[in-house]
Amino acid sequence: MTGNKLQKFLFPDLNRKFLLRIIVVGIFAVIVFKYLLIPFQVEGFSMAPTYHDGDVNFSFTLKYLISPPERFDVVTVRFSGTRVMLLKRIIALEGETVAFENGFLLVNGRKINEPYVSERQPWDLAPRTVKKDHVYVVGDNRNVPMRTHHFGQTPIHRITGAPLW
Amino acid sequence: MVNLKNSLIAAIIAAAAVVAFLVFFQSDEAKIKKKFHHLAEKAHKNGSEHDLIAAKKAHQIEQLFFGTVRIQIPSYSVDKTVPRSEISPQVLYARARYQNISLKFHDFQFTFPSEEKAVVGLTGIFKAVAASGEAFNEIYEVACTLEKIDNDWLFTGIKEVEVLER
Repeated sequence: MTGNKLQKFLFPDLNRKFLLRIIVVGIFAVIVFKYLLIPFQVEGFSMAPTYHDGDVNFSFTLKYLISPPERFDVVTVRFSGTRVMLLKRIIALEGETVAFENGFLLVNGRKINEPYVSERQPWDLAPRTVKKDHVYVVGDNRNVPMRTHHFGQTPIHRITGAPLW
Repeated sequence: MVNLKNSLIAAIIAAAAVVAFLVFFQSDEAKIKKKFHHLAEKAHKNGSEHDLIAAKKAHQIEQLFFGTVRIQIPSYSVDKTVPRSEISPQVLYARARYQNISLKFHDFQFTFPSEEKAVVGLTGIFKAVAASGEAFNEIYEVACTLEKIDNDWLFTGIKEVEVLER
């Protein structure tokens, strides 16, 4: 890039065409980052070691437009809106029975291998059935007492998307 | 010069009109949001505070409520009605348990079943440090019911919406 071109790139003429371009880019950015790729920052250790406190990511909202969420998908779950969301992993789908026995996950009575869990505390949770149009979500960090970990079943309509990476 | 002067006067009048409009013709949504900000402001605590200030804040929070308030927190199996007169002592007791309190509200969703009634869904973030040093960082979805009494929106119900049900 020659000096003249670089100067024009860094300090463009504030003409009508340039202002129009700025407006189009602005509108495009709002649509993308408000509705398609919602930026978020991980707060806390609920999904450790997969996601760490302070990680930055984007919730891709079109992920479940065609196909429904599946077991082991990491998803973002909204509260009243998307300003604050939970980042959790789906461990059971509607109609399935979920339980924890000595820290190990049981779905429909069968022990499930969870390679994303590194250490675990002896969680014990009596079997319960996931309701219609719900999924059961839990964080990857099981090295905390069960009572302090926020998990459970949530309606599918609360799932806003999946992290981009 | 005359043109510039006239333009300046017109700009000042327009600005005053906008300010007056915002002050005197607030939407119900704006008025209700203001109540939540007021609640957060009065709940806020940063270190120890004088008993009189704590009592004043608790009283100011009580003024935001009306009649008998229904409080539902299904995750703690709480479903009770509290008369307005009991809110101040309960707030005083609850705030005394913490050294620091911060309350923030986001993502307001308004519905108006009637002109005099509003149901507001929102996300509440409660951060606090207990007297023992234990830190709390809790997020709730809440549905609040407010009623318009003498042109003032007052809380009549607070319900926790369970996002994750064990």
